[in-house]
Amino acid sequence: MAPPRQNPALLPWRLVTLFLLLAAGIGAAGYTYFQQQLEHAKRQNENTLNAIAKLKAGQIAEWRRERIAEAKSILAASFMPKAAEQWMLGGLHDDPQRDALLAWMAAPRHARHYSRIFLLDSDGKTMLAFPLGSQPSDSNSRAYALEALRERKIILQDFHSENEQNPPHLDLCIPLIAAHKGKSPVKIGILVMEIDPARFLYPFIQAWPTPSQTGETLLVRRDGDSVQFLNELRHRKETAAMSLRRPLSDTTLPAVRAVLGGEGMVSGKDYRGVEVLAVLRKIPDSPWFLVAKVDRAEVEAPLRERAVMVASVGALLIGLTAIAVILLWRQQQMRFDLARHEFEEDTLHRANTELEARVAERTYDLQAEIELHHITEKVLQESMDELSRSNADLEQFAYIASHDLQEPLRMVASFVQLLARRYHDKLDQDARDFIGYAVEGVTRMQRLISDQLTYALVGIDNSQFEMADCNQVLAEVLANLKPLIEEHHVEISQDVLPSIPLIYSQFGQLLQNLIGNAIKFHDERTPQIHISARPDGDDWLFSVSDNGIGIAPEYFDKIFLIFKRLHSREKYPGTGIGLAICKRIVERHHGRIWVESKLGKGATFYFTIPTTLEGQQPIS
Amino acid sequence: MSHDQLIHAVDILLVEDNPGDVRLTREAMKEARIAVNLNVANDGLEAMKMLRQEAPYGNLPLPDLVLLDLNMPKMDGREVLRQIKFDDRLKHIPVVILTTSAAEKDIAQAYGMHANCYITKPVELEEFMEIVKSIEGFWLTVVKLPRNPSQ
Repeated sequence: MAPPRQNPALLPWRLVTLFLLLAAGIGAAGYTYFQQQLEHAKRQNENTLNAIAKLKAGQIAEWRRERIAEAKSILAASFMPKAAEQWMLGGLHDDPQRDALLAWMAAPRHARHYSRIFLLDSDGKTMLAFPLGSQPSDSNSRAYALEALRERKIILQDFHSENEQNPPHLDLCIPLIAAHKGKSPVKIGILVMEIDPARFLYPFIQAWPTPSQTGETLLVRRDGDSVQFLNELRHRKETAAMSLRRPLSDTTLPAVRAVLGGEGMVSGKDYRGVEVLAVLRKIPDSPWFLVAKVDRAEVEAPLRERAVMVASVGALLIGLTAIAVILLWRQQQMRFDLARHEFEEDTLHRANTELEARVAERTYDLQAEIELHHITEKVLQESMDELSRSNADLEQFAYIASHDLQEPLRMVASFVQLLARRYHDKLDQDARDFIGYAVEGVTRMQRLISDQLTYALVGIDNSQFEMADCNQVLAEVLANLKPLIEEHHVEISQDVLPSIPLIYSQFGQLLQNLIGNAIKFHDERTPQIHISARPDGDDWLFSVSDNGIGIAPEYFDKIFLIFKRLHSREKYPGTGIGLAICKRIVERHHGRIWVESKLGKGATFYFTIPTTLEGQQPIS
Repeated sequence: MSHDQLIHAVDILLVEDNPGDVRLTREAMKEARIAVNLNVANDGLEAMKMLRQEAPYGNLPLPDLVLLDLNMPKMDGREVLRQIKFDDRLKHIPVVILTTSAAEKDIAQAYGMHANCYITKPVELEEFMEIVKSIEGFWLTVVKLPRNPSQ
């Protein structure tokens, strides 16, 4: 294997170049994507604006045609011209005719578009008006009406208003001319129908078909060297219709561009000076131009969000690329390091192969073992079930023993004592002795029962094993025994004890029984007791030594049997249960207990406790 | 003992199935020279009838203290305790468990059901006498108890 050529840590520039290229690529892609989105949004807005402008221009042109058509139909229907002719040429005396004319003028169908209707004579004088008594809004109206009569044609007079105070209006001027066969036509007068744009036209212009904060339609016309805004403005409500004019030189205004013949999509600043996108259209057969516009800000708002998103994603990608490049660099470094250790690796590989073969072999063995283990486990589980049943029975028995058996004994003892107490003076010494024996017997019986119970319960204590410091357990035990220790002036010494898994209360009981015995079975010397522990294979070997009366070798086993006593109760009281309980506790901890002693030379009790918890789970 | 409490004898309900224990308790009270009005229920059912003043115990006053054995026929002391402590009219009455059992389980269960104290009957007559005396000394003189609504 060749040695590694170059340390890549020294040559990061290739990776830096790679990173820069990738970052540039991501940036370019993001920019292109954003531009595409921008174009798309622009096209979409243009389409929308175009559609709105086209629709509105068409409808406004249609509205104009409708007005002319209405005028024609008034002339064609014979009532109005005939009635006017008869009434006016008849010297204005025919009152019913006049009333009929007024009724026609007041017809509700006119109210949608027309605010006032006048009948003028051929000189332009008002003959009849609806509402009654009103006059044409301004002098221009009269002039336009006379022009219509002169020209003999229906004229839709454009927006006009004599002064700023009068609301703008349009006039539909219908010439009334009587034409009879064989006679030259006679000019009767003019029907002037004043159109109030606020009734239909303005609301219609203002309506915007899509939800928009800034969308607005403007109706404008050229007025000399300026453009005049004809309708009410969405963004400047305080400015009356027709009052806004802007010079034609201000070509950033879409409205100016419209009256100068511009068509289609333009961008510029509107009357507020705000950047807008607008579509311009001429309204056919009219001096009017339509501007449908929307603020650029509104159009671009979603794009700004998109831009932020594109920028974030781009930044994230560049960051990830940087991380990837760094990882790549480190990988190269590691590869370099690996190359340096190739030989060792090779050796390791061979060792691994060998190991794998051995593992396979062992696995086969283990599988067989596991199978065996399963079978054993099943048998064990069955025995444990059986055991927990008998434990439950034992607990039940223990309860009965502690309560039901105690009660009659207590009765006997209590009443015998009551007897002694009440009749003390009447009883002789014999009677008092008998009573004493009876009470003592009962008391001992109760003691035996409770000891037996304690012994039985050691085996079925459900307490868990826990790691405990034996020094602490011993300290508690010595505290319990303090009165006894002080009474007999016992000298106690100890080694440092280990921490091991044990059942805390049971271990304490074990130490207490052993130390208690060591104190109890003392001779005339001062009792000296030593507690020690040392490791012994997998166990700890504990010992409790004393300098007491000692035990003859033939009793070494018997002392651990329940209720087995070596001495009279008078000399050493007790039921003979203490060591039996010790044995049970040690066995419960999977250890052994024994004694070594010479009669008269003290005794040492030994017991072992395993150092690990294995196999020490309590049976429950 | 305050003057107030001297005026009327205290009412104690002893719930105990063993006639021997009943007698022993009476003797102990006699020796202690405490003026008590001791009523005895021989099992849990009878105890509940007396406490709820059901026939034929309509005229029985509510006791100031209940001494309750645990192991009894018919209804045992645990059930009597539960019914007393879940009865709004009775739960204020102190209940002293007086039993032979020293089992951890019984002690924990009794306090869990709001027993006011738990005493294991001692073997020694002398001790038993002392305990009866101290029960009365504590619950009937030291402790301030709520007034029974029926009195």
